[in-house]
Amino acid sequence: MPTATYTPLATVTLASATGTVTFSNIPTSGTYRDLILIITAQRTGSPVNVGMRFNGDSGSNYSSVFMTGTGSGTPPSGTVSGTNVQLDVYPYPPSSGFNNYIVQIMDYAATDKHKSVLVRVNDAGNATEASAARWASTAAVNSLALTLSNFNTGSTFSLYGVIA
Amino acid sequence: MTLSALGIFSAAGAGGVSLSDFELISTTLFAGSTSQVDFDVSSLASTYKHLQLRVVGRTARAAGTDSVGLRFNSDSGSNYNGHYLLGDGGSVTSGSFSNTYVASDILGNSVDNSNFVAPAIIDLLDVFSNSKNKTIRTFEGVHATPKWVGILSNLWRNTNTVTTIRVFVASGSNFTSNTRVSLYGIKG
Repeated sequence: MPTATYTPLATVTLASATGTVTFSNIPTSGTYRDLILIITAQRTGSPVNVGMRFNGDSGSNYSSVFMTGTGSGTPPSGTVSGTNVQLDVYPYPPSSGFNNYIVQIMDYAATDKHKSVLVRVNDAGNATEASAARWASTAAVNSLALTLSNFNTGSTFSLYGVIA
Repeated sequence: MTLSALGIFSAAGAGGVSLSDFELISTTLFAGSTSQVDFDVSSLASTYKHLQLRVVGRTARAAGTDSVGLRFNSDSGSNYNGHYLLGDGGSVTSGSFSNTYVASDILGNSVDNSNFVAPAIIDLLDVFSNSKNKTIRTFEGVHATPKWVGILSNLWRNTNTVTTIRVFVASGSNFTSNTRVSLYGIKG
């Protein structure tokens, strides 16, 4: 029996600039297998990259590999490791206009595997990018925090659950 | 769930998809020592336009990666083509291939840590059409050893309606027990 899914869990639209957006108490009971996060972001302040941290884990447990099309030259690929998933490397939220991010967090509630993340970033004014990331933890994801110097007013963050 | 930032739940707006347009058809959770899973989709043509496979897993291969294939309607002929764009952390490469299946990669078992898995999201577009060849779009990757992120487009040079899909380890290994393959239908 097919089951309707891609279920909206929550949407945040910023009414004022903020540096952190947190989704907490994400259900881990097994209802959903994957999370899909869709971000439309604009920054205030200096250009920096968007970070995503699970369960408040501030350890050096995150790493990713990316490839980027910048519109000229040889497309770069590289790796990033640190204390959060860096959702973008070459692109970053602009100060006017918006970037969009589609973030797939696979098997987020499973306790028998590290968490894998697929990210696509679209920055029409700067670059397009794809990355694969890993959180080296078998803990179920029950919260995720997104950080930037400041996300500007009007930035949106939508979280969906996918049943499996 | 709670949000620390001001926000409200918002369903799809006018003209958007409804919540029943993307549906789970089935999920296979591997118990180990299995190299393939078959989906009979012959009854889905009147309900869905597109399909999506979401795969998270690894194989029992001792080192490196295995090629994971899709095969439609038991066609094992050389009727599949593909192009890829791949970033391995050092450079971006692009290439093409012909094969007897739709190809993607998945991690072997000896890499770094048995908890590592590789994800792939595979869109099967207009698979029930009987007038066009079938196109398949894959987004995959992992950060382990090896590491990569890849975008692939594949083609099955056949206009028949897809009735069966086999997901299998093409290079002889089995999926490990923490592998999952889920099939979704998208209405159109």
